[in-house]
Amino acid sequence: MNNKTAKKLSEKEKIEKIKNIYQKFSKIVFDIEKKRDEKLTKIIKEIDKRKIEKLIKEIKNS
Amino acid sequence: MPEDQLKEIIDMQSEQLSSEHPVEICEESPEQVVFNVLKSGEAAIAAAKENGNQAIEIIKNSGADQTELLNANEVIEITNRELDAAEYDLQKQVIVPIQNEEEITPGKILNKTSIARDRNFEGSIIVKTKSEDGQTVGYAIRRDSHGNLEGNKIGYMPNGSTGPVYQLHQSDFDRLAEEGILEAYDHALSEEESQRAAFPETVKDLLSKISWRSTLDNEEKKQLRESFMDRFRTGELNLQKFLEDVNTSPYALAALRDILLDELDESRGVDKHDNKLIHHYLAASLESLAVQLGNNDKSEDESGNEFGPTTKRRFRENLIFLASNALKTPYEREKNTVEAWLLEHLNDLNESVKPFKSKDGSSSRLYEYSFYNIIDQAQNPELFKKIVRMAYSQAQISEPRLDRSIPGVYDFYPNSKKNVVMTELEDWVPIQKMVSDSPSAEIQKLKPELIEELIKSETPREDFEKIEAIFLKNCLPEIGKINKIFEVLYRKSRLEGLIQEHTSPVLKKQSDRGRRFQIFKDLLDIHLKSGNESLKDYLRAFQDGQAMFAEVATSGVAALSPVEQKTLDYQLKRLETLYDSSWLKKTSTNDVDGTLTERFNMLSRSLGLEKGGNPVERLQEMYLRPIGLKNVQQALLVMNQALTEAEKRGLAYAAEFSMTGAHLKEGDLLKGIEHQYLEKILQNGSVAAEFLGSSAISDSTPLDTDLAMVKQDNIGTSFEETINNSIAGNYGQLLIALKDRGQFYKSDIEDKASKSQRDGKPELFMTGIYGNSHYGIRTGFASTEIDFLVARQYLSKENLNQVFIDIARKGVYIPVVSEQGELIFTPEMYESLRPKDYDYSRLDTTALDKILSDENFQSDQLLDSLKECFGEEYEHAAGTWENYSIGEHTQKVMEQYEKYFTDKELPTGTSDRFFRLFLALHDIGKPQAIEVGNKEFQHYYTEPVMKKVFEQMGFGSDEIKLAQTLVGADPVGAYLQEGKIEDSAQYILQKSAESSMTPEELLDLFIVFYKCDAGSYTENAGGQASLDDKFIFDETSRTVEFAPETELKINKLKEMIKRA
Repeated sequence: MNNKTAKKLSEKEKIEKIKNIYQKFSKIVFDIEKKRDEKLTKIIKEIDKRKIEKLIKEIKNS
Repeated sequence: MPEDQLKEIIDMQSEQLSSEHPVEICEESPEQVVFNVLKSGEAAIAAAKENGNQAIEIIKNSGADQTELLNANEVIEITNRELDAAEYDLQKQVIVPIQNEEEITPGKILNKTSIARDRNFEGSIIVKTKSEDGQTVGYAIRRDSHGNLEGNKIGYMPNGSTGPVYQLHQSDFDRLAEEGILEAYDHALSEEESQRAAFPETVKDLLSKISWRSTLDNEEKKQLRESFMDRFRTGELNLQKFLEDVNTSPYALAALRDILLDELDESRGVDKHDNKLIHHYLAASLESLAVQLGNNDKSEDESGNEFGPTTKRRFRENLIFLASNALKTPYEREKNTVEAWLLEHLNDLNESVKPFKSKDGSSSRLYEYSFYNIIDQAQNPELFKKIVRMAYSQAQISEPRLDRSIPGVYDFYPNSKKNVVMTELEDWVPIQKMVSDSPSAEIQKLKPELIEELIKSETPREDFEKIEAIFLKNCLPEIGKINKIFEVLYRKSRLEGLIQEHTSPVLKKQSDRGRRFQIFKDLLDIHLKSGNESLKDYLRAFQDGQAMFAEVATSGVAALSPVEQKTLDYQLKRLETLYDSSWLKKTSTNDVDGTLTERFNMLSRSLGLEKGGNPVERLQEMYLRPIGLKNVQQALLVMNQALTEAEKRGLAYAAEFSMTGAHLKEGDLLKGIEHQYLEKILQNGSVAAEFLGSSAISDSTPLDTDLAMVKQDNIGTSFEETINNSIAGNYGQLLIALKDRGQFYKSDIEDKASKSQRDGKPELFMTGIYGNSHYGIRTGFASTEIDFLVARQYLSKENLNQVFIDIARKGVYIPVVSEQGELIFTPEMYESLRPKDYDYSRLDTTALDKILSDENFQSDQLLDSLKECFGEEYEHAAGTWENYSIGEHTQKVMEQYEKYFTDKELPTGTSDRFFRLFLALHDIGKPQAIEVGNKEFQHYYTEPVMKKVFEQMGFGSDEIKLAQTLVGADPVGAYLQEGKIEDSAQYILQKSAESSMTPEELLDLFIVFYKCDAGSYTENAGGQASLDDKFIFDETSRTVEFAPETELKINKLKEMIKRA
């Protein structure tokens, strides 16, 4: 090893830091999924809206 | 409603995230936590993606139109990319906390400051200071385009990461000047500048200075390497970008390798963090590096020369080296990619090194160091298996240093790895041992290549047994073996690699399968038209079997006599092997354990025959139809015709040349060879090296045999001048001349000719490597194509004589002329070298019969009677220092037999009658061999006499064959003298396979023969002391034993044969 005077994190500090990183990661993944699902929900709502309008049109015509 | 469904899923997801992928609390070690975190992260991402997929399914089922679906898919795509990025970031971030090193990379310490660089502050030099309370503050200083100072103040966190950053103002610089910070900056700047001056400006320049071709001394190279790494550390040099630039020089990789080898060595105190980055960059750039290397292969060096084999080999070695280091990337996903890449390319990288193996067979292939790395790092079980086998095999074959390294594996690696290496080797070592222990001399010659092929095989043991059977059991003619070897050694990628610009236009156009079929057809045609002996024997046996198989097909095996059944067994073995080597093969028929009926039925079924169909007919159709032949009879006819025509042509040329001298015209072809290859060429034709052919000309064009065409401007005023003008004149002491008789189909680069235009003729094309008279014949040409030979003046008399004998042995006359065109080998000379035609009517068979069956057999009586016919032969000196005549020697040999063996039981089917006559004739061809100048040819002259006399004495075909086998070679004597155990074992095993004798029985007979023959050169046999120390004679108990040392050797041979 080299002679650099390393400023070491203690084991406990390291584990704590890694866990923090993972928590942040979990939050990021959750946010990404949330964003996705919001967009998809919007698309589904539009599909439903379109279908209902079509149905109403058919009822009116009949 | 879909919306509800979706909501439900979303809710579930949120729960999943917190419950299903928690970080397992593990206080064991930070490394363990990192591992758990990465695993959990991977799972979380996979789950998130799966959720997306489910949502898409729902949308699809809810009646979305095209636009809606497209929009939804786009959302998923964007999300997935974000998820990937999140995972990548996670991987990157969690590695950092477990690194122990200080974030500050120390440079030159000035007072209480240090110098650093940071890629976030490009162009700046950072002067770091430490305040008394231990806080670190950095000043990133640079000059703008006008030379004015500007910069930032950086606060560092206790863990070394960057904290708040402020812009520096003019007033700040005054203070910095006072504190000596600016002085430190200037000092560092000037130091860097002087370094920069020494540092080459382009990658290419740098690398060529560090490379093995450089003229710099080691100290200078070391300095350059260090400054390279300094630049890399400070971020001034982007390694990824750098790797992309590497292809600018063929030597760059080697140089990079040198740098990395130095730098990656952690024992030298190299920064671990740097290493991780390097590994990561290597992994990320591996694919593009490989592609660049692929391009490099085809390119040229600075002087415009095509890269030589050594350079190409270096490319591959270096690439493997870099890949093995890339395996150490800290990122799991990259590692998987590198493993997959290695698995895919390892064979090719290793294989493509092979053709350039050095002459003594020692080629250093994969570097030891790379092996270590891969074994150490590989997680993919397939890759691990392969690399362990490769490492071990190469240790055995070509890289003696690895011999140390494999046992070294056990010291070098942790226990867990040792065990898996051990498990792999337990599987592999016995297979490799099988190859090493094979009694086949041919297999020993091909050992390195075979082992490499077996490494790749899923079923190495079975594959090897099949190959060995072909070599040992002689169930295929030589062409079958050659083709098999070709198949084994040149798998798809390697054959593909042989196809170059100068390759036969016909082959170039074909698919892999087409090429193989074409080559097989060519080889078969060449062997047939060369009158190859083994093919001739094989076809004849095939023909003999035809009637038998027809009978079995209709009446079953039971209709055959026990003797016929034995023959059927042998015939079946041949057909099974033939079928197994065919392209049709789906299932292996090589299940020799079944009964004859079962095997017959199995073979018939495999060949798709109706009941009553004859497998012989089906097989001959398969093999002979492609070259335009209907059946074996026709094949034998074609062979015979080729031989007869060639001889006729030779005689006609001889008559012409004896009057006018030899001459060449435009379009004739010349090929230079070394005289020692003539014998093989006469048997197998002149073929490319890939088909185990040999010639003097260097192998510049694979898959064809190269020749020089006589062009108008080569033709000189004399024959000699024309020869000397030809490029063929530069190769070998013997020139083969093929006159232009329109016998070849001339293809051009495009080759648009139709099948009928080619007309089944051998393909002749210009390769042009050595000028426009340099031609090639695809695969090769038959020996009956040879019109005459030209002996160069430096061919010694002895060797010239050898050439004459080779021609006589082949039995087809070929004129040989001198460089001046003068006929120096006439038909009369040829006749005198052919085995003598004795007047066998002078043999008194009744008297001989009586002598042989006499209870008081007298060897001199037998010899006297034989002298009626071979009187001169027996008078001839035997050509040994003991100065016996053939007759004297023969009698001593026979007496040894009478003394020690007549009371012993000989192996099945061998009688005293047989052995006595055999011994009486065993040297009968020696005088003619001595007369023609080479005692080694005695077998050639003895065999026909042996055959004739045994026939006249009414011996059966099996016995005649045995007599020929016994006299055809001296496996025991040759082994004891020269020690080539495999050659001897192979001869015995092959000959046993062709007869009803077991190898052990046959060896016993050879031993008896040797004890009589060599045992006659002893005082015990009444002669002068010579080979006495080889034997222990005991006349009272009538035994001859080998002396202990010899006995030991013989036992080795016995063991080898038994094992087979």
